[in-house]
Amino acid sequence: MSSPTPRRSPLGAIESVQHPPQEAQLFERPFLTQINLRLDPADSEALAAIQLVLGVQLPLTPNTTAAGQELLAAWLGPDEWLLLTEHHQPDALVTNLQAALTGHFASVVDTSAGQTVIRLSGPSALDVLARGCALDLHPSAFPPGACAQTLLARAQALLIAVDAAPTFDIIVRRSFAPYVAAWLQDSAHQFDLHFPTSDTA
Amino acid sequence: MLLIPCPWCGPREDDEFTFGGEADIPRPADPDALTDEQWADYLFMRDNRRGHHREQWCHTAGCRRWFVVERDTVTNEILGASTYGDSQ
Repeated sequence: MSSPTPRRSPLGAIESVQHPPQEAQLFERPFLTQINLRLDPADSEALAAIQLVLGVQLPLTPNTTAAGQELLAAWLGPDEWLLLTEHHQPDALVTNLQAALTGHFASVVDTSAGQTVIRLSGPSALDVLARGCALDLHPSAFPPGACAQTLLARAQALLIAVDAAPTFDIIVRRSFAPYVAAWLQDSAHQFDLHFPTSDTA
Repeated sequence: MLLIPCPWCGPREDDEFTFGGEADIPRPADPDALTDEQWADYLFMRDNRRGHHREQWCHTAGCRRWFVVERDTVTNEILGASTYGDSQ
């Protein structure tokens, strides 16, 4: 039996950069499990079943996230969420969610290979993002735990405020990732960006 | 630039949205019963109002929901936004 094709992260091919971590820091968080979940928020039975599987209650407030021990649930729409985790394999989580939602009007889609997560942190992160994003991302307006889908340098992106450093997770489609990473590098150039990448899991 | 108030995400710039034309045009319950003129009127004919206008927008780059915006077509002032559930 031939060996399985090695996984390649969307940004795995980009040469790692240059300077030691100073102000802005940028790196990919490859191979996270990402599940798109849709269900009727009025279906309290389905919400309860999901909570049992995930260990976290789906956030019903727009543009917020809910963090559990092993998993983050981000609000994408009134009936749509993104589940992010490094502790569950996609196949197993999809199977568990589908089993929990049997008989309910819902959808569970594995988007792990279709998107990637870029983490940007440091005091200059706000300046780096402000060059291509119209949202007010200052912690006073966009505190840790907030999320927003918007345009970053004209690419659709989901921004998640991780902590008040500030640190952001930027989730973009696989095909946009090299462009967004290059744009972030360019935007962050004056801040001595540190951008190591990881090739393998 | 318009600052459009998405009922879910709050005010966002218009780059994030797609315009969907005049709102409140119900699909005929029984299309087969219509004449060609009535069907064409439903499909193609829209008011071109001066002033207060109810129109559809989709938050394409955000939550991807359609909703209704009330806008003054003369001043571009946004007078409000509502979900379809609210406006029925």
